[in-house]
Amino acid sequence: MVNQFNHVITHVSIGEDSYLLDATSPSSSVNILPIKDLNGNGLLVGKDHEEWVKLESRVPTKQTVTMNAELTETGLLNAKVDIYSEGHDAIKDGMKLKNEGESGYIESIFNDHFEEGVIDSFHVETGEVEIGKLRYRLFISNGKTAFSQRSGDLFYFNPTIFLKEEKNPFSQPERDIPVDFPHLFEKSYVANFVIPQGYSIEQVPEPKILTMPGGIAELRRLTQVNNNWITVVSKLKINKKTFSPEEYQYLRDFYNHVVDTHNEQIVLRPEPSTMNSTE
Amino acid sequence: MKLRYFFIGLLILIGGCSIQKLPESNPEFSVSPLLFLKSDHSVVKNYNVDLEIRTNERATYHVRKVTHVMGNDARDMGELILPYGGFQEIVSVEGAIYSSSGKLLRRLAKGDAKDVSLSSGYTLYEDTRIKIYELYHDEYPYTVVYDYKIELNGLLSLPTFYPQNRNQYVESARLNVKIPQELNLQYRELESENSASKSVIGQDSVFNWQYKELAPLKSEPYGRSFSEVTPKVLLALESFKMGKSEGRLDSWDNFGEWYYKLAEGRNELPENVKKDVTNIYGSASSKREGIRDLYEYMQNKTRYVSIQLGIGGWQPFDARFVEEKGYGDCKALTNYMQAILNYVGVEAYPVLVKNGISEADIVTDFPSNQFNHVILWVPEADTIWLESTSQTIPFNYIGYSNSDRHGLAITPDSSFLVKTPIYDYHINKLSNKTHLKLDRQGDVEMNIRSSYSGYYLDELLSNIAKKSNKDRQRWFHEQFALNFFKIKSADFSGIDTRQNEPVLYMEIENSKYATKTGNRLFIPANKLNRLEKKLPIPNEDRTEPVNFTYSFQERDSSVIELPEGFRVEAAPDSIRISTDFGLYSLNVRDLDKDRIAIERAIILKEKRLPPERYQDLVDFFAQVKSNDRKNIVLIEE
Repeated sequence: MVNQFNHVITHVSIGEDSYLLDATSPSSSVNILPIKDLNGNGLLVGKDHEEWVKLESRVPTKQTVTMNAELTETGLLNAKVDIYSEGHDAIKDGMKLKNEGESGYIESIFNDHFEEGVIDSFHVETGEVEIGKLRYRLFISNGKTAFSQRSGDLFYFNPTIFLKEEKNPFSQPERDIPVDFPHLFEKSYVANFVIPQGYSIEQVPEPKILTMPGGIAELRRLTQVNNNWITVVSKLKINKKTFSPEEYQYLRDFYNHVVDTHNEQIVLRPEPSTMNSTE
Repeated sequence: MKLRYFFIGLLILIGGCSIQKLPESNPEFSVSPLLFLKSDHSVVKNYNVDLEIRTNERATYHVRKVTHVMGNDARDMGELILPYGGFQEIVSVEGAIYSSSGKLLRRLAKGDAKDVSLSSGYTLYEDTRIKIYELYHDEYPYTVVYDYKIELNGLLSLPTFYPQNRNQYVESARLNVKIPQELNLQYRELESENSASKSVIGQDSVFNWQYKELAPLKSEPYGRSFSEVTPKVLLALESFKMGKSEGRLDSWDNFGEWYYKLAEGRNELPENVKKDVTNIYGSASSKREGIRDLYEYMQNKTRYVSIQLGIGGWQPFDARFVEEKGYGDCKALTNYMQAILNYVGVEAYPVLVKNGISEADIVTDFPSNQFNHVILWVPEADTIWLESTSQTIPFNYIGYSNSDRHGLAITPDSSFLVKTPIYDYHINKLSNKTHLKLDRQGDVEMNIRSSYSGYYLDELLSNIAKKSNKDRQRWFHEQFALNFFKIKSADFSGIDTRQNEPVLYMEIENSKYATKTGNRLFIPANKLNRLEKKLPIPNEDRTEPVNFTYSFQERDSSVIELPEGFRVEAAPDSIRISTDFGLYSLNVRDLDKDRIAIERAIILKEKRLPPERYQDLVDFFAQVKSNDRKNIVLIEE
């Protein structure tokens, strides 16, 4: 029995509340244990009693990215991006900042998310890391390669820059072992786009709400149009840690829809007078 | 007090000293926090190697290394792996860990080593075993000290000296070689301005190389491999003895002669094989076809198992041994194939090579044992090259890991360097022809016909040849950047029949190939075959040349049948990007009112470019990615 344990952490009771702490990990915090600790149950050895304590993430892991962007006439993008992370994501990103510096961290954000062309430049305006919380503001611009695509008369672009997966992470048709997410998470992405003068909004993606039974996973995507502003809100939530092989099909299906939804385009049409001047 | 000075005194002695007992504490082993400025991986305080060569057959190799382990990433600096058996024996090993203040924490105890046979999946039995010593600690930084001695009995190869590991700062590293004056040491320093200082001590010549203050090597994306750029000293004896045989390394010809002598008298074929071989070659319609038939006969009869026995694995097995057991290592199998060809009067010669996809070529003006593999060269019938260890590789194709490098051809009269075939973008080709039927939801049914050659063939061979259907499907699921698809049927016979440019067929059902937004469908111009490379943010101070593993050519042609009631609203303009190192083109056109055709091609002509061209390469790939993402827009009428 004793040989099944290989680590020790601390449990603190204050009044009604309890807190878990791992002193060996500089990158964790109160109730945010390193991922390797989140394994089943731990045995609490008290002064005069023992009990099993469930080892799971107690602090929500959230990431919210807010982007205010301007699309120019030539299809280039300038944006102000606010990234706010809480919980495990904050710890993970904090470590990345520490190990790779600001440019390494930004590079990984874009390599991970921004498949739509290459970011030409960025600069950080404010950045703050508290234990368990991370707040960053950066300015990005895509000056050389066009962000929006032109096809004949139409201009179109994918507004979902962050949160987008290149392909379904669950690509195999079958699975024998359960899928184990290290922790539950919620990712939100709010993007505001200012459309250039002389363009009208031809089409925006329809609202979508997709939930797995019992709310164990949720996808929301809403779009709102206000004159020459488009606001796109996307939210992805995973509320269950472990998915059995039987549930795998549904999880895979769910993620197919997630990838598909995040591939949808916004279509712009230049107004007739604009057509003559841009050619 | 006195005892401490005694130990410190011992530490300062140069050459051939052995420390019997590592001290309780030693301020020299303490770790100053300033060292983090030099490397947060590891810092080598001292790395001293003494090679004492006594005869052309025997030498003692003594290493003493003091490494400060600065963080978790450098934990494996505490692992020491020493092979023994065959031609080397471990004489002694001492090791210890010291805290950051120089206090002894733990010594290596007698029984502390893991003893493992070097038999791996493909090595059936070997003389060589390894001992693994491990010294780890939990609080960083700390210091690991190792002091070991090995006896070498057979000096075909002398150990190469690598002063520095990845990400590591080296304060001092030194190689000292002592050799009787009547023996000649050959040496070469690479990737450094260092040269040997020579002296004479008694009857011996002494060569000394000193490295000081080596900063960690900057690693740049798409640069050469670490083993290529790290400084090193190559060593070889002009005349060596290995077991019962003696040889010379003063020229490639002489080295080859030694190898040739080892192989003499080992190519007698068993009677039944002689009969088969005569029949097969006799019934072929041309010399080339006959050679091909014999090659496939050999492939079907044997399996590759590496057996490294005897003279450090240098003596090929008797052709009869291979025949009896049905397996053999690369030397035995190549010898077997050579025996078969010689029997019917076809000239064929073994060529020693340094195999490996990212391995640099051998140093051509330094005759020495730089090899790890042997292939067969058949100069006649338009020159044929044969890889004898694979049962799935096609005729006259040796795999990318054997290509474009120098090898030592061994012939009865002389041995000399030859160059193996170059597989560039003319040979490394992937071609996909796809027919898709799109429905109004964006789902497709498609037929794909893919042909592979060169590097792409290598990938295919290692991932799907002789694998189960399940494993094959699994691999394709990872290859295609498609969501939610199902392989309805597949024909992989091209691989199974060892075609030179195998063609695979697949029928696939894929949902959401095209994205539906309202009454529009967006079809990506290139969905199947996206460029995986993520280009890092460019670096203007780049000093390393750009080094891609291979140059290549990819062509994708698709015909898409549009769903009823939809027409093309917009399509990307044709584009063609042409540079001196690469080419990309995308062309979309209407075939008729119901079908569109897409042609996409990408060619990377040069796999090596000077550092100043890196930015151009980044721009090229950025444009490729940007154009690949373009969509054809369909609208419902």
